[in-house]
Amino acid sequence: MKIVAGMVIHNAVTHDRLELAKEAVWSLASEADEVLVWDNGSTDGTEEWVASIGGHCYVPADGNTTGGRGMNRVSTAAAKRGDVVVLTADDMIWRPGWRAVVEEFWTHADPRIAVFCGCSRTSTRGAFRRAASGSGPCTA
Amino acid sequence: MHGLIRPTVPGSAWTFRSQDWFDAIGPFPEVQGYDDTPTCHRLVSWGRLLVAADLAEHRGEDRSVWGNQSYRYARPLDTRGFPVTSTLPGRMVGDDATLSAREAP
Repeated sequence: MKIVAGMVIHNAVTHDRLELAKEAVWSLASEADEVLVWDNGSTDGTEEWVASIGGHCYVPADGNTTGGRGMNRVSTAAAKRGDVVVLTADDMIWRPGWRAVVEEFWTHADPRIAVFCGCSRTSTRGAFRRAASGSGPCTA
Repeated sequence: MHGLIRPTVPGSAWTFRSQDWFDAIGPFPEVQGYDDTPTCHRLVSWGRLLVAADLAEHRGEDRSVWGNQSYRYARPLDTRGFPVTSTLPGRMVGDDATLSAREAP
């Protein structure tokens, strides 16, 4: 199973904070087959650093610096290159061993499952409030 | 392996089959701060499932540069009623959601 990771740097935490970005990228690069990075214009050498470790860095050509644009760009590229995509933000530190779990999950996953998210704590808007009534256990 | 089925899962840590990107998931709306949630709603409306586990640590929850304030109203997910265990060794500092059912009081 080829796993390609796409990271989006979109004014969240590591924009122009290369040292933080490095930690996040390394947590992926240590186990993924490839890492693609979307950077929306950091001026701290992020693009050069990603290239120096063999990664590929995309930058917006049309001024669209939304997270959605970055997510679309790296997801499409990663999906063309691998079997499974890891789409992650620049402030996520993936813990050692994540790859084995992801591989195991997708090898046996129910076909109805569309997304296996690596963080159950982080909230999208209001997610935790709905979770009380809308969540349930799943065995993949 | 256990996970938690949820109505939404944060787009900051997704994994998915490549084919699903082309068939179901993509593209995200290109609206700052509102990309993952509508995509989750669409997938769930199509009968697809969203599953969460703990594989990563979110370092930027309350440090958003672009102004994400969701940490101010979001409540930590109480997993004590679910058979969800921390998927990888080690607990994340300050993250009670990684407590397994066995460890929970």
